[in-house]
This record gives sequence, C-alpha cells and structure tokens, in this order.
Amino acid sequence: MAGLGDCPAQNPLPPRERVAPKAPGEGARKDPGTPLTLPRSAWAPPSPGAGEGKTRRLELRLFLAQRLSAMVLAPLVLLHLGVILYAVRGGLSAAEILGRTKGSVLWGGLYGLFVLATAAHGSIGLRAILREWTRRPHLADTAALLFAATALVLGFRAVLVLT
Amino acid sequence: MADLVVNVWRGEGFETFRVPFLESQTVLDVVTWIQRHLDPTLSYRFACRVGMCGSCAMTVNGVPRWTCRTHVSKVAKDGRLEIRPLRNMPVIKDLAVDMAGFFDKWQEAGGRFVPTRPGVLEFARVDPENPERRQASAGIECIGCGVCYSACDVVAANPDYLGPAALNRAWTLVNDARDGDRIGHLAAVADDAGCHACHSQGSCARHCPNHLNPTGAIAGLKREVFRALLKGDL
Ligand code: SF4
Ligand code: SF4
Ligand code: FES
Repeated sequence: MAGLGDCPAQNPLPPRERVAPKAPGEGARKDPGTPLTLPRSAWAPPSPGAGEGKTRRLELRLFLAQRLSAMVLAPLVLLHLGVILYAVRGGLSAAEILGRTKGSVLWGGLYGLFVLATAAHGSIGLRAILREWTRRPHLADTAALLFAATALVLGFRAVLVLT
Repeated sequence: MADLVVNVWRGEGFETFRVPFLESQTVLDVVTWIQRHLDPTLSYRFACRVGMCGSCAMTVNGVPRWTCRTHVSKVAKDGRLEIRPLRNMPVIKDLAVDMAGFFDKWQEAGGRFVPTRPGVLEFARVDPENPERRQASAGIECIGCGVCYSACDVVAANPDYLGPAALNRAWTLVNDARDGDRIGHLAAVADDAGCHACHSQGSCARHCPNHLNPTGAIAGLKREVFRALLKGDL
C-alpha cells in the first residue's frame, strides 16, 4: 500500500517561482509576430462601407485631411477671434487695419492657411453629412467640391485685399 | 397594490395584460408571468436571469433595457408598462428579435482574436494596470445584449453601420497585447460603416446595462486610425 507520503496532496510541488511583474507597458510585446490565422479578407465579409482599393484610399485620405485641418483650424480660429476682439475693442478703423496687414507676409500666410484649412475641413464635413443624409455619394461629392471652390475663391480674394 | 397594466407588442399591435404587482419584480418576471398564466403563445427570449447572457433585452417604456435586471418599480409609469422588442433588429415574433445581423457585424468589424505564430512562445506579460489593458478589460465585459445597438440612431439611419457593440469589441482587440493583427483590426473599422460614422453622442454608453462606454471605444478607434494613417500603416 502506498504510504501517505506518496500522495501528491501531501507532497506538493516546490513553490512556483514567482515572476515579478514588470513596469507598466514593459509587458506588452513590441513585435507580436506574424498573425497565425488566415488574413481577415479570407474569412470576413468586406465591411459594407469600405469600398475597394481607390475609393477606400480616398476615404482614408479625406479622413486624415479632415483631422489634420481641424488641428490647424483650432489655433487659427482662436487667433482670428482674438484679432477681431482686439480690432473692435481697440477701435481700429479699416484703414488702420489695412495699414498693418498690407504687405505683411505673416498675416497673409496665416490667413492663407486659414482659408485652405477651412475649405478642406468644411467641404469634407459637408460631404460626410450629405452622404449620410441623402445616401447619394455623387451629389455629396459635387456639393463638397462646389463648397471648397467657393470657400477658396472668396477666402483668397479677402486675403488678397488684406495684404 | 393595484395590478400592473402591461402593453405587450404582438406583431400587429399591442395586447394589454393585467399582471399582479409584486415586490422586487423584474420586467422579465412580468413577461414570464404573462406567458405562464395568460398567454402561452407569447414569445420572448431569456436564459440566465442574472444579467450575464445578454438575451433578455427589450424596449421597456421606450427605453432599451436588460429586462432580467430591471425592476418594475423603477420603470413603471403609473403602474403601466409598455414592452416592445428591441429596435434596429428584425422582429421574429412578439418580443424576440433576430440578432444574427447584429453578431455578423462583429465579424465584419474584425472582432476575432488573431493569435500569433507559435514562434512567439513566451507568455505575454500583461500588466493589468497598463492603459491599453485597462481599455481592453473594460470593453470585454460586454454581454452582447444589443441594448446599445438598439439605442443607436446611426444604426437606425444606416443599416450598414457596424454599431457600438461590434466596434467596442474591435477596440478590445486593438488594445490586446497578445493579438497579432492590430492594423488589420483598424483597417476593418476604418470607414463609413465603421468608426467614422459614429456621432459620439453617447446614446449607447448611456443605455449599456454594464456601464460600458462604446462611445469612448469608438473615439479611441478613430484616434488610432488617424495615428496609423499618419505613420503610413493603413
Ligand atoms: S455614440 Fe456612436 S455608436 Fe454610440 S449611439 Fe451614438 S452614434 Fe451610436
Ligand atoms: S456594449 Fe453594453 S449594451 Fe452593448 S451589447 Fe455590450 S453589454 Fe450590451
Ligand atoms: S436573461 Fe441573461 S442577461 Fe437577462
């Protein structure tokens, strides 16, 4: 008969070596290696809004442009508001304002950038809204291009007058 | 206390039942009582009765809820209940909806864990406190009840939209250090039917019975898609 000493419960394994937890973030493997399974395209139906190749790339570019232009716009809008407040409170006349902006590369450059970012951001956003509301992508494209063209023409005309 | 007046959706309209009000009664109890005592043909779905399986969700007085954990006393208005099936999913019968499309979207959103090759044999050391793991840990508490999906107006407007639950699932995988295809997960959701369509108004997060935040998850996806685009990975 086996003695009690043979019973695993009586003879527990030596205590397991404890692995000290690493610093936060250190645990995450940098290179998780190549995926083991089939590529997603092999098993999942394509996402309905994804579109193929070119359309998809265009959508991704527009998304990128939308976010980048937002980042450009954020400080410029604040600057623009600041300028308006300053000009109004300081009681600057149109002539005085023009006197400061005429020939200024800085103001011309900043407002030029403002116009570009507005045209990009506004038209991409408008396109997204129209696509969602009307479900007519071509209509949305046309309207967005028209909007961008108008914003660019009006915007640069103003910048030209100012500088 | 007087009986509850319960209007239940029966496909062609509401049918009114009177159900005795009981202390600590849940909406699922009410539906079950109707089926056991008044009309055995009433169809609905449940399994665990304790808020784990995610099968009992219905629209109660206009709000999507898990019925097994919703007390009648909290939601009844003047002793009245109106119980409908969930929104945004085809109704099979009475209160049972077809959730196949809802779960298909989990696949479309790339909601599968992608293991790495056995070449990587060491254990992934995952610190439960690191920010990515916290995001993933929060998101995996989803019980797949479809409440958020039913609450989302963008799903209602665009039937292709993957919806909060599927995108929340994708976000858990993007944050999983052990997953082998982070960029693949991002690519699967980076479009008009994916994370870009979300309006970030948080209806999903407000109604999720488990207090998950799919809105935050989707915002995270947008951010990571943006980063991946900047790096040229997408
Ligand atoms: S935040 Fe996004 S996913 Fe959530 S309900 Fe709103 S649109 Fe739907
Ligand atoms: S995120 Fe919340 S509401 Fe949506 S399916 Fe999961 S548990 Fe249900
Ligand atoms: S019956 Fe399982 S969550 Fe309600």
